[in-house]
Amino acid sequence: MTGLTATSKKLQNKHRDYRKVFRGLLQYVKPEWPSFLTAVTLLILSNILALAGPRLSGEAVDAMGIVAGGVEFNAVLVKSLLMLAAYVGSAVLNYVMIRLVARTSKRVIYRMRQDTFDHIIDLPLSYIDTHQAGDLVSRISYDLDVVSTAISQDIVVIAASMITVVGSLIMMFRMSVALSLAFMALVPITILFTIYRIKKTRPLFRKRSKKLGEMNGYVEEILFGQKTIGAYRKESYFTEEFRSINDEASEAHYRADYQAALNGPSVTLISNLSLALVAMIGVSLFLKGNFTIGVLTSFILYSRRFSGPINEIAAIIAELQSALSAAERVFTLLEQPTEPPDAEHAQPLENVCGVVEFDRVSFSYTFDQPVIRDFSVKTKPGELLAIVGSTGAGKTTLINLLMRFYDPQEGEIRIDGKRLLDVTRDSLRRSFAMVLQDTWLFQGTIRDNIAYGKPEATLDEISRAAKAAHIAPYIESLPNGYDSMISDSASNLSQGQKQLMTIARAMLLDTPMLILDEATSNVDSQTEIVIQDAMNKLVQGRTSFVIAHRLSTVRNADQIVLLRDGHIVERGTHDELLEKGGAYADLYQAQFS
Amino acid sequence: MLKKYIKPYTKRIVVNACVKMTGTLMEVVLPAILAHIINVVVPTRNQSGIILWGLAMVVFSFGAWVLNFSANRMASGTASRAVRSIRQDLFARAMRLSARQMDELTVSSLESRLTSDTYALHRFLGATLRMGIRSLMLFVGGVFFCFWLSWRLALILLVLVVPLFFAVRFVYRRAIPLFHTVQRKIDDMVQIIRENIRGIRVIKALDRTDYEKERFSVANEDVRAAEVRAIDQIAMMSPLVNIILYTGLAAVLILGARLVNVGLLQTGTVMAFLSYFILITNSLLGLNRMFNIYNRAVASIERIREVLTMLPDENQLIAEGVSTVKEADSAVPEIEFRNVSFSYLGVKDDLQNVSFSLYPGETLGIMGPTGSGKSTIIRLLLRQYDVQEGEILIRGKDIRTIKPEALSHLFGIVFQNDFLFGGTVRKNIDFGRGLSDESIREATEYAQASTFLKEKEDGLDFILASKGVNLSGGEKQRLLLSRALAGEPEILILDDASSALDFRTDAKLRSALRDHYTATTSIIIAQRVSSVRHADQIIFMENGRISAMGDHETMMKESCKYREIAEMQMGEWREVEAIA
Repeated sequence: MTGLTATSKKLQNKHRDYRKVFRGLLQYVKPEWPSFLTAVTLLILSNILALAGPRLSGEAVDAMGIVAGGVEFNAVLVKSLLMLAAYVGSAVLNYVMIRLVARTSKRVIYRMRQDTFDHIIDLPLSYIDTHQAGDLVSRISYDLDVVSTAISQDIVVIAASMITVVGSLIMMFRMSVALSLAFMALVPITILFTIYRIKKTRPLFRKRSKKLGEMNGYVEEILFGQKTIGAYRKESYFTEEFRSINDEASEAHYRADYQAALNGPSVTLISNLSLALVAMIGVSLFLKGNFTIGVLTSFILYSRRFSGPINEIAAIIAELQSALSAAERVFTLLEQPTEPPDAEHAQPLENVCGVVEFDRVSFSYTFDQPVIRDFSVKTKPGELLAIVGSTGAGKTTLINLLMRFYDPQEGEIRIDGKRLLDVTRDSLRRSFAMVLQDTWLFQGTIRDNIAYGKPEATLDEISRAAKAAHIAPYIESLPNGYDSMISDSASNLSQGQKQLMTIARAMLLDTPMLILDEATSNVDSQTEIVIQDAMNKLVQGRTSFVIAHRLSTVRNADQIVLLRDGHIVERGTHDELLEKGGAYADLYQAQFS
Repeated sequence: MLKKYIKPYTKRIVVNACVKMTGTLMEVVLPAILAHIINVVVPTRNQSGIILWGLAMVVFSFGAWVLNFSANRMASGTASRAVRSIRQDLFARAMRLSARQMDELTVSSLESRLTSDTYALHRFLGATLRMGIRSLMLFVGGVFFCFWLSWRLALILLVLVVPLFFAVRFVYRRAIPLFHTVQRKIDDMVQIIRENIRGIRVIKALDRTDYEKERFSVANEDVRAAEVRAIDQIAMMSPLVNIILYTGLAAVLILGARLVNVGLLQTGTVMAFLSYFILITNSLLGLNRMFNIYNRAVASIERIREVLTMLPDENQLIAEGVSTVKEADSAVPEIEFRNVSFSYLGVKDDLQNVSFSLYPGETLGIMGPTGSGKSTIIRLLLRQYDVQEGEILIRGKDIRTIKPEALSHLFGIVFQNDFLFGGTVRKNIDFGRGLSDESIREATEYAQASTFLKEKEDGLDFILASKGVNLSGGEKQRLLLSRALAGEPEILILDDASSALDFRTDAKLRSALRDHYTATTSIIIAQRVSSVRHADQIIFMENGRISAMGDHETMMKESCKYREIAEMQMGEWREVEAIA
């Protein structure tokens, strides 16, 4: 009983999901209804014209008769040219229709892509942090592509195929009911057979994509380690391991192909059988004088157009299913709540002095695991607060809370006495400059990258910032200077250079507060000295929050807090903490033993 | 290249082709039978003759079905097996490429050769065996029957085939570059999405979301415009082909009528002609599709061939190598570099005149800025590249005269950003060497990995995700260290292997190495002075040269760079010691 309810509930959910998807799609398609309506009209007209073709060619054959000398030339000429006109007209209408549908559907997809992207950007960080980037990218690059194909091609093909099938049937019945009925016997067989084939082959194709995916994964992974494998001389071991993966993938490929090998010939078989059937019955009827040779010709031509569309509809139904689930994934993403809007009474944060106060703040990403516990600290304007502790102690979380990427569950954070919830997010974030461990540069000029937070900056300002960050000599040594392109993933820059660029970016911003999160941990010692110097300039006159792995970087802090499991275990200045000989002193010593 | 892999299947392919040909012919003959019924049987009014010939059509239809799908199955089998062995050889070759060849080809390019290129090849082989033969037979058979039925009408075909073929080529020629443009535009768009997701904190912090949305909309619009342009082109295909085809049909009807009238042709033949017309058009479309698949496959085949035919690199050839190395001897340097110079690209010297010698059980520390040649020293020692001047000796033997198999078991190595793969912890540490559980456990102990492994439920059977992404940076490094230590290496090489460890763990690791690997000769590349300060020798690299060399005390005195880093990193260390 409970099992049953569970299943029906699941089914209900499924239905509701599809309804949601259809509603969503409709909302995008609706504004384009005149175009779609025109397209459908063109499609119907085009197919009706095409359906007239076989009829007309049959009439032309009729005009020939079956005895020499009995040809009515004028009739043949007129019917043939009419047939040609019908086909040309159909082709032209079809061409216009395809272009119209392309424009309309791509407009729809354009809007869907834009909305999806905009939504991703507006999502709270909690969503982005917990989802793989590749997954989000594939919403736009893959899922929407599938949806796009569905609206621009699949639906058109289905509509055209249906019109062809139904139209052909009508024409056939009008010519000869008996022959049509004989022919119709093949239709259910065709449909049933097609459904059976799909059921049979689909899991095989699914397995094939899975196996190929596994092989791709293996190849990517192992090639990445090729040098290590070479160093241990384990090439044969991994080659053998690949053999079984390769064999499995090839086998899965073969299994699917083996079954699919039946599909093409089967379509042809049904078409050929119908030809044979029509020949036998049709010719007999013809002999009895029930109809003319021309009708027989038309009939044959109609019947040959039959099995193709049925098969096509079947193939596309499978595609439509995947399009629906693709659309569902997109709409599910679009349903995710964005960052909540600012409170109505929220005021912009202006003229910041830089008194930052964490008041008994507690926070957890998931409800069961607190990351920050009862955390309180207060800075004076222009002070440097260092946060140290091992990985996972919650250091970066504090920054997330300060920037309101996340909001605490308990306690509150205040800047100059104003609660963060009472100021606008934009103004809050604009009050900080940030340099993070994960240097973020984008494809574009160096100038654009440095001026990212202040697009209106002059070249003079930019070069001053670069100078202060000790990166100007390098930039100026490039042939294009500040207009040099930073390539994809900035692979033409060293880690240190990337870091200095982001420091220059922060330098350019005239913010009252600063965040440095593990800004030197990926850099070699020589470069670190340079960066350290740049950062010392950066912290001057700003209330600064510094997170560091290397304790040498935090020695000059006005306050150091040592975090463990989300709460403060020690606080004080460097000297005080060393003197105390507690956890901080321990950590400091471990560094050099 | 392809020949070699196809050859074993020659017989199969010949049989396959024969079966396919027979099957296709059975199909091609059907409209001719129908013509025969109408032209010959109908005038005799022989009812049973009609049924008989009709049944012949049914038999032929089924015959064609069986033969065609059997041929298709054979074709799939052949293609699958041929591609499997090509892929296997390609992988084996890729595994044995020299470092230099690897750099030239790049990992991502090799990856696409092993995957998408072999798929393209597979598609091509399968399609040739299935569609290619069929389309050709349909075309040849169709044309043959047309001529046989009425050479006069068939002449229309000849007139049509040429414009039809060129119309199709014309459209493809113009459409294909447009589809390439679409792909490029999509790549650009995806790049923006990736950048945005990666930089979302910075973008939000700098309040630049509206700008990014605007930037995306430009790329989005580019994709849309490119797609519409490409579709406009390809949409011309079907009307062009249809118009040419139906002009031909009209011509057949009109000319046919004339021939029928003078008794040169029978009406049944005109009907058959209409069927053959459609058959021939379909075969032309099929051949064209083949042509495109072939075009795409040619590039893939070339890319696969390039790797398969790559000769072993110079540094992989051992002229008269010794196959064993001597036992360690405390009087002979375990590792010696003599005036070694090297350049990756032959432009600038990446290593210049580097000399040092390291005795059994000693430790060498290497420091220096990025790009100073630290890792190059290791790559040369492992013969990933060969020295251009000078020589490298292991236990007194030039490494170029030692068979690589003899060397490999001496080493335990952790490279910078070394790799872990999907699978159990045990498998990652064992690395195909067949080590005992005990030695694996011991290694994890010394590498400080056992502490975090104990927290995982499955211990050594804990399954890593691909590239070890389900571990933190420090955990990954500790597993890599376990791998290096597990084989009881005589020479241990650590390139930046502990940078992600916190200081306490790093210190524990160092003391474990000191206590348990006393006989092991080690080379340690590090950024932290603390990692190398106890080494017997430290060298400081700058621009490919050794700028200073000696133990910690000497270095502190003689190298100002080393001293500067040491002071920054451990400035008040003495002070701490004094307090503690």
